[in-house]
Amino acid sequence: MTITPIIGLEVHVELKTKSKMFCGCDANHFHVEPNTHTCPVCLGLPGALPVPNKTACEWCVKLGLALGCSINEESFFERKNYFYPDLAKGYQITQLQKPFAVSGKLNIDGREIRINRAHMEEDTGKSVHVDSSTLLDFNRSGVPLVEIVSEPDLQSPEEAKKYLNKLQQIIRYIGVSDADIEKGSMRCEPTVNLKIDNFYTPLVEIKNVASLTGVMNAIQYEIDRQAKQFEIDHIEKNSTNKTTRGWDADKNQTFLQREKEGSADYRYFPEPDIPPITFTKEQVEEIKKTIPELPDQKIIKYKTLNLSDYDANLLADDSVFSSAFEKSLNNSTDPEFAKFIANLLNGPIRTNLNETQSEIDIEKINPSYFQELFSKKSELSSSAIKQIVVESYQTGIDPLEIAKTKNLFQVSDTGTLEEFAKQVIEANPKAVEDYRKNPLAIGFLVGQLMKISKGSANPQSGKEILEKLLTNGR
Amino acid sequence: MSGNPITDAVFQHTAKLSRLEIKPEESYIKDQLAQAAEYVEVLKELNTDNIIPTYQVNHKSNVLREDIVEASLSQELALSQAENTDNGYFKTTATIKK
Amino acid sequence: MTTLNQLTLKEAKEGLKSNKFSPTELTQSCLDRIKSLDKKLNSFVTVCEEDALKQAQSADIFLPLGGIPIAVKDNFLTKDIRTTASSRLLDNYIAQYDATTITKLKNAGAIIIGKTNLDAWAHGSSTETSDYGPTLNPWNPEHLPGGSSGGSAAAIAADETIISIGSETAGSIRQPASWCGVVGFKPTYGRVSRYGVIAMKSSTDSPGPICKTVDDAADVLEIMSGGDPYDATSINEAPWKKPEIRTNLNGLKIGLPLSYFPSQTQPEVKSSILSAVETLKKLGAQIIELPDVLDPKYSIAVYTILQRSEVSSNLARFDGIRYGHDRSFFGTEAKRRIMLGTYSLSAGYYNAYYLKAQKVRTLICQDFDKQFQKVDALIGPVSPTTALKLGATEGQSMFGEIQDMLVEPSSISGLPGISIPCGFDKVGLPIGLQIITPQKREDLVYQIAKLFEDNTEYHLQKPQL
Repeated sequence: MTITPIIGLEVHVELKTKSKMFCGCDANHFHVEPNTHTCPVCLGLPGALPVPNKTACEWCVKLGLALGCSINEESFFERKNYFYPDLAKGYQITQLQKPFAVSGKLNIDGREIRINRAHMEEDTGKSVHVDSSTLLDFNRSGVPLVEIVSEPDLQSPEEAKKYLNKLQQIIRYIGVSDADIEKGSMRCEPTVNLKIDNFYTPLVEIKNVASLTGVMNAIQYEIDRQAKQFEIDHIEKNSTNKTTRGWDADKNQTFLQREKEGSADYRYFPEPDIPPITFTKEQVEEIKKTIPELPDQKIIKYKTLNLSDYDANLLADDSVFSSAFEKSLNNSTDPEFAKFIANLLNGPIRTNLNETQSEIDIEKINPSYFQELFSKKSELSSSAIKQIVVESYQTGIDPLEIAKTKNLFQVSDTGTLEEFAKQVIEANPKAVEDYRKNPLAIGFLVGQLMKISKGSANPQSGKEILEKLLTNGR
Repeated sequence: MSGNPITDAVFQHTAKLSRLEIKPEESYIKDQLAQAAEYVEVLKELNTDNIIPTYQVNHKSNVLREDIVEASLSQELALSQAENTDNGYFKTTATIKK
Repeated sequence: MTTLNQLTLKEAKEGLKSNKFSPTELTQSCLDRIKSLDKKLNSFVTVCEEDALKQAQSADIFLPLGGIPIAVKDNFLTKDIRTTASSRLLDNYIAQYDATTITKLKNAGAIIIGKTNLDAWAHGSSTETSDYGPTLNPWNPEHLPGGSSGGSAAAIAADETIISIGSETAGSIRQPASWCGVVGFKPTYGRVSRYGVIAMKSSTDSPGPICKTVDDAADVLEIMSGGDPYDATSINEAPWKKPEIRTNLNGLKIGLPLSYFPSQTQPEVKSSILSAVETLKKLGAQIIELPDVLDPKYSIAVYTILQRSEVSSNLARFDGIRYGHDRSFFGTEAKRRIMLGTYSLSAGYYNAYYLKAQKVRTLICQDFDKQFQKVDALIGPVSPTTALKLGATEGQSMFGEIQDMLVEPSSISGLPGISIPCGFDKVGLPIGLQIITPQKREDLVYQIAKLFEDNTEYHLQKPQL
């Protein structure tokens, strides 16, 4: 029996516009007193009318383009009619027949995952269930959302996670949303079914997944559950048996919520209050120009500098970080220099940022400093370099100044080193004997050299000098 | 509609979708729906092949607003017309399934 | 002797400016009239006595509508004033904001004297389906005033106010104006902002004035009109301005659609219209009979489907959580319309009904385009009959839609139209003439209507109350 999971992902992304989708209320609803960012439009008062947010529409197009979509020349909004206390108008304004963006793709490890559409819609209010009542806050009602629907091309929970990570990365890169799953600015609903030999199990949409791990666990749970279920009842997928199940993160299982309403029961019809929206080829080009180089392209570029997959991915993960890298590189094509910077940014700088809980500040990156440090790297220990680069980043002081002040320059000149070496050899006759028997014992003597030089000796040069002196029978 | 008489099941389903309770004395609405349905059959007389629907009669497009924040209603005004509120929230005990 | 409440807008403004009387006296006169009549007539759902008098005291008579009492149809949101749409569901709703149109009228100095009665939710052509009882026709209290803006039309006819506003989705300004013998001006769709008017059929709802004379209506329309950034369907232009009057109609071609005289047309209605035709001819117009105008029966079907579909969605926000009462407070008429709307949009029916109706709508618009190649304006009766008796709507599930067949085509196409008095039937009930032009040609509507009015005296007659 061959089981192939078939997974599709529907992702809702909250755009970080200043105002809401169809009105001028402040779109921020995080840590805000309830019902203080509402108006007749988003509160669904009688007589109120929606007017679309230009930036939100452009960002939806931008996101669509970043996902390789085509942009419809003319698109329009529709009403999706259903009742729920947090849906102020009794319908949600969304897109159906003519969304802004269609037919895109996302590349996961060389596999292309097709994207059906990226369309614009509005969020609902928030409801909190307390005893037998529901409390409603409409601050979130009307906040712009982009819905991204993939084709069911994903085949495993891991792939789903990668898809989501990639999507999140791109969204953050183009700056249209924080795409934070925990905070709810990126929400995900997987739809799962299985191909078992030549049969297909019924579709299941999973709701209430609040984290990436949750997504993976929920999908895995469903895969297992559907396989077992099919063995028992052999019920195959048809056009009416799609169900919705909720994910319970505590119990680690899904449970049946309701039979999914057919799309026609939402009675979609074009929104009469909003005229259609057109984007000419020129306008689309203008928006395309505002898309920065995306992670995939950056990774390819970095790898031509001979950076490893690991380094390249880490640098490209965040758009500001990658800009910092590129600023430091300053158009150099020297792979050694690239590696040098990569190590410093990914290593001590990143650690320092984590410790101080800050983001990298591109203003603090000075390309000439990196060049200087690189040119003097043979005179500094690697730990000294790490220390210097962090301090230079924090203070803005020239790294070589710091090295001088802190006496970090390693001694490499032969004369001084020979002096130290002679002292070490004299003070450690037993170690010298050990060395005669086993050349690897040089390590101890090098250590002594470092000690006697108070760490300022260049260990490599020191080792060579010790070996030279000892070979000469001294 | 014609050829598709409005059955009780369809009627109940329509009422459910409309979130309306049709009282027994209002059940004649079912027949009136059927009447209206008959009446609009007249549209079949007109050929609409290749006709684009008119969703917007004044042919506007691209009416958009800039992303600028405007003043909202005060919490007090927003809540002022609700029957039930609780600490800044609207409150309902209706159990409506999504 | 004319009492102040009987004045037209023009006369009231002149009187105020020349200090013949004060805004307070003017407002008080209207309030007195309301007090003496309205228990019977029932034009008003809410009377704003205290507020109106307060505003009258500090009125600036140099504003365009300074100190002028206005009656507002109760589907316009008026901040801090009860707004019910004549439905029990909104019985206790105090509007939380002003409709754009109301803001404009207030800024022009108008004083809201009260909210007028309508068919609940504007669903009707009689004002008989109001949850607050029917409004009676001032010309004959056994008859209906028409609807849905029946309260506004009756208030004007009975001189309970100087000016009033209503709204039309398909006939709701023109038809009650015609049944009450007053002027009802429905502008081009989008000419007046819909922001703050309780939505019925979003794609045709058109707020507009109902007044005593053509000039009054035009003056009020000037104030009401203009692009609104809060209404994406509004025409993005400066407010409409009344044009110069014409001294004759020379060179104008006016069409008379023969299909606008269906079999149920009352004989006096037909004869009044034909007599109006003669008047227009004498004024220099060339009258052209149009035999091939699309049959209004298609408009009835299109309107029925589209209106009820949009209504079913527009009324979904009334769930009793944020305002008003719950959905059990909807009256039967509203329920019926919501049910049919839900049904038309449902699985399996969307293509056959909603989409088909929108396509036929295109045909209706194209038909008007074709007619307007031959003529500059169309005229005809507003309604096949004069005011029907109370109780006429009972059991008639499509009463409104059929009654309004002569105005539905132009509403569906977003065209401007006016109803002006042009005669009376043998029991003294008024008959209205409608004038329809292409979109945005309110100037021509005004000019033809004004010239007709200046050359007739029907508008000077008042009901005996």
